[in-house]
Amino acid sequence: MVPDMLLNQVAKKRQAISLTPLIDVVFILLLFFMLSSSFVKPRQITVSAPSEADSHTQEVIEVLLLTEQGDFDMDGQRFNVYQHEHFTHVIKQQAEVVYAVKVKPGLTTQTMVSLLDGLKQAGAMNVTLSGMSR
Amino acid sequence: MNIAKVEAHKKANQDDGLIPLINIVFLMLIFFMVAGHIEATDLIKVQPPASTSEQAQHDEALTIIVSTDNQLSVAGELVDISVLTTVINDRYAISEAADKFALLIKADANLPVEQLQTVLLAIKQTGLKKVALVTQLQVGDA
Repeated sequence: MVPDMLLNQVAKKRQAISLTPLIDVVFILLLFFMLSSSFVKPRQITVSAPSEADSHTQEVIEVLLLTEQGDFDMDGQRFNVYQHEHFTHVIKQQAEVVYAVKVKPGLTTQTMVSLLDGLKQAGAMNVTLSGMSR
Repeated sequence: MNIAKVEAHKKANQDDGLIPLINIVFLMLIFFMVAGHIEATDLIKVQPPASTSEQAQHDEALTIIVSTDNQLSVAGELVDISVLTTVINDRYAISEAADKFALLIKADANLPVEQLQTVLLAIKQTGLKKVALVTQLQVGDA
């Protein structure tokens, strides 16, 4: 009598699916994606201009990077990378010229890249690292 | 009557309290699946310099990683600076499309420029022209 009643109760009660394994699997997937995904957007800048036949006859302006703070010498004048206005109009007047960038020893790659960026944004079309162009 | 009422009322499942947790975890999972890029990790960890350059990276280039502690790796293998030219030439020789062969230098942002110049000099000796430097996209004013 009693076991029958218990059986009925068990049969009536819906078999509930436990959610714990689902959470386990989802957490593992989440952990995998958190560890393997990267949000850095990789880009690139070319450091060597392809040498053309007339590249030697083009005028070259030397740009010498001096300090970590972005001071550089160009055409005999001192500028700063982070003060665009000063050198933008100078570069705009000579946009076709090859700008050969030289860096004083001891400076970091980041400063050099900022200088390359600054020159390109000011309108320079040919920016190379000196030592790379033939 | 009482029994009928009791049977009509469904017992709350013990796992019901976990449903908001599952909602949030699924949301996070979807975010990472959609927004993140799955990338193979490099042999040497470097932080490339930030740049406003919008040029997207070519995937087929040979990657040279230069770290601040003088470690150099070419395509996942540690090499010494003295054999860099030879290694690049070998890779170029066995590459399928010679005119599509490009070099990608992943240098750390704090790498002194002299060390980068040494690497560039070694590359110059191979005669290859397509050389690019890896940067991170910098958002905002420079």
